[in-house]
Amino acid sequence: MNTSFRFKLAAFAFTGLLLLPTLDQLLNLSVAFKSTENRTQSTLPSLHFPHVRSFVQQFDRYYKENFGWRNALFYTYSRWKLNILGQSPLPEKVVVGKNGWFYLGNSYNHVVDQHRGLLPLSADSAQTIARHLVDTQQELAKQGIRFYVLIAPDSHTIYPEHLPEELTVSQQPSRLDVLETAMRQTSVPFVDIRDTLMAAKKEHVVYYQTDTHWNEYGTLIGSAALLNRIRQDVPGLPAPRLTDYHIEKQRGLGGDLTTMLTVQKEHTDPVYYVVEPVPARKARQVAEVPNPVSGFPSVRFTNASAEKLPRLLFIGDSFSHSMMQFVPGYFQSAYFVRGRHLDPAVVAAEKPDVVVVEIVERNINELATL
Amino acid sequence: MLFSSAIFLFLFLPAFLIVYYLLPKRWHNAFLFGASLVFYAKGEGIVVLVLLLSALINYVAGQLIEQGRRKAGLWLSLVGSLSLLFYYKYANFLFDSVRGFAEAFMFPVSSDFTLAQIALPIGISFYTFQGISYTLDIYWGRIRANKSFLDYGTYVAMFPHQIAGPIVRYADIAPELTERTTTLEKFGIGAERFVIGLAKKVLIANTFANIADTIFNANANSYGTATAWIGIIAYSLQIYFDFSGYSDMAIGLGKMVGFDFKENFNYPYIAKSIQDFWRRWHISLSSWFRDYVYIPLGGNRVGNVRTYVNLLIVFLVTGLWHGASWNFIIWGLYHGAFLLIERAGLGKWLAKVWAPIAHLYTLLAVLIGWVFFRALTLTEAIDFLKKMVGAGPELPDTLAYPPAFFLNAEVLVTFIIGIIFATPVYHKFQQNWFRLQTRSLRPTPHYLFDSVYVLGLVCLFVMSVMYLAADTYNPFIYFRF
Repeated sequence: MNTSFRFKLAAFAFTGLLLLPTLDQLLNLSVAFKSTENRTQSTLPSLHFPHVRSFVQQFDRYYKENFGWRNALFYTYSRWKLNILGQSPLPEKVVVGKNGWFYLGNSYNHVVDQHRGLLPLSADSAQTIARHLVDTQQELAKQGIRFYVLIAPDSHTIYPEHLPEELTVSQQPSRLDVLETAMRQTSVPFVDIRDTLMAAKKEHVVYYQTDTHWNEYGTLIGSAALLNRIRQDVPGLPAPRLTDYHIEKQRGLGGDLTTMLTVQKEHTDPVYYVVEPVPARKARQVAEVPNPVSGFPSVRFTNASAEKLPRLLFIGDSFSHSMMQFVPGYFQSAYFVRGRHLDPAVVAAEKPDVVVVEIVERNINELATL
Repeated sequence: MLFSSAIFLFLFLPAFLIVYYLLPKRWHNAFLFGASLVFYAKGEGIVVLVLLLSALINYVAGQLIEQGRRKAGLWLSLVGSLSLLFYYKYANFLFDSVRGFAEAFMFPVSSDFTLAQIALPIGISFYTFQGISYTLDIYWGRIRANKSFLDYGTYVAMFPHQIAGPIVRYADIAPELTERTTTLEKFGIGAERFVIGLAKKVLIANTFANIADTIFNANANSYGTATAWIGIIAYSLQIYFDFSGYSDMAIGLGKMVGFDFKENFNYPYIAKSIQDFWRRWHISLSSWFRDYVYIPLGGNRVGNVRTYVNLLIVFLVTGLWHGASWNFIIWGLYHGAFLLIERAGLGKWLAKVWAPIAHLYTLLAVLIGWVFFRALTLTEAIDFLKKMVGAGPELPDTLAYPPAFFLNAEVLVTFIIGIIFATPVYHKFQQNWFRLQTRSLRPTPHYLFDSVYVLGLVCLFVMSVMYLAADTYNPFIYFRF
């Protein structure tokens, strides 16, 4: 039996395959496939003799991240896993749910395990957080500042029905339930908006399907809940009314979750809400201050027509970004800082009347070191 | 450097092959030796000197034996090679065991009595055994010593089998070290074998590794009996496809540079007894122990009791060879015990009994043995075995890892593929494929069949590399946050 042709063909094919990545690096053949890793890629290291070992390690990392066709291969892999096998290409980063929903995966503070009740918050830990928040409240109160804590729920909490069936959830109280119970024993306004969002989702979708965050409508609902809570202590604050906003539906885009998987063009949100406040509820952005700690600039707003209203200092995570279009309109001025620490120097400099700390549900443990 | 890494596949290997094929034949060994040292040093750094020292010891020992100083040469080889192996692989284990026993029996142990962790040079078990087989074969007059350190060093350091075997005996490749042929056809045979090995490692073994690692690293109260079985079956398939895939790649690479390494696996999971299993599993190791330990101890020619003792000694050292821990010792003795029982009569019964019963017995024995092999400690192994029989601790209402957590479409398909390819199905497929080809006497369909086959291998390679690329893709949602 003559199989010589097959083996010769295999030899040529194999040699070609081994050389293709180098050809790509030389000729940029796969330039159309961009990385969506959103991080600094390793660059080609230079050898500083005699530090050969570190050069080898750096080169290894560089090559792993830059070999020819790598992004194109991941693009193909992502579609193979997602569209053919129905699995997440990066299961630790993104959980693929039902009906076109995507959720953040466990590599972000074990969010899935938290949701499933596999990492319960102990009563002691909840007490530690509560004590720290009470201390913060008292410290701010000495300066005449009111303090509020807003928890932005994970999309897993608001839309559990689209999570994969195998992610069974414990019947025990969630971490946020445990913390809320502890906070109820304190005087710190702890704004838990889960019920509000659950009620609102009957009207409109409140979270993006392809992104980690709440959408514009969900943000509006969350912002209104926060403002209503502040109004209980500051009656002069204007009442947030949905009628003050023009809401329009558009076709959505792909979000951060599908971008991580490089499928942001194929897997998009069915709807994007454009929410436009009436002029009276609009504040003017006047400055962006670089923030080297978080990498995101702090943003200052003023509201010239509202001199009698309080001044706001808002410390928040990425969920606070979309709140900047709604919340400042209810204050004389607002200063939004991206981060997880309440810096006394910023408080002293801003002299706010109200401090709001917003944190996403999966990171509530970080309130202990606010 | 792993064979299943981009830097090996697309940088080291093509560069090596291009230079190798451009060089005149007389330079081939020198280049292969040098490139192999680079390959080793890239991962292990200065520890490459241990490999060179081991090679030098056995080379000198071989010369001594050849020159008539037989005992001196043999002792140099055994003491030299084995002391390196003992120091790097077993010193920490021995020290910790002695300390543990002393503490257990209330002997006073100073807190200063410590030994720093010694890093294990990768592949040391393989090249030590290769060196010893070389000197023993010279001592027994089976082969002549190699006069050239370059040629001998090439044999020891050769990157295709350097870090994960198979244990290639000098006697088997001695002629090829001096004179070997490299043809396009042989290169193609090697390429086919390499691609199949790569796919076994990346597409099958790694998928099972994810499952097995998750389950074996999980808290005992996070999964139940069914998941424990999924875990050990996944591990059994992982270790087979990982190791046999690596051996395939080694054999394939060997062919590309003109060497014919012997087969290392022969469908071990279709064995009908544990004895049969060891004839099919890691053949280069089991035959090494047979030829260099079991037979010199007297084998089965010294009465029943001595034969049993010899078997237990062989399996004790087989266990220890795999790793310095009590788990490996127990795993080895566990297999040895089965061999004893089979020799005592069970083997005859298994030969007569309905074949599926013999297969089931073998698979169960092997599967349970893998628990000791995979678990990190003896306690973990026992807890895992308890879980497999439903005797574990009481479980919470929500399990982190119910069976459904693992059994998605991809895993189910991989399980089916894994089970099928652990049997000689592919071998039969190839035979039928050739039969189909030979029925067609006209050349066009013949070429078409060959082209389709090679296209399938190309797809397999691209798919494997696709999975490798995915392993390196690490996106972040927020930059610097």
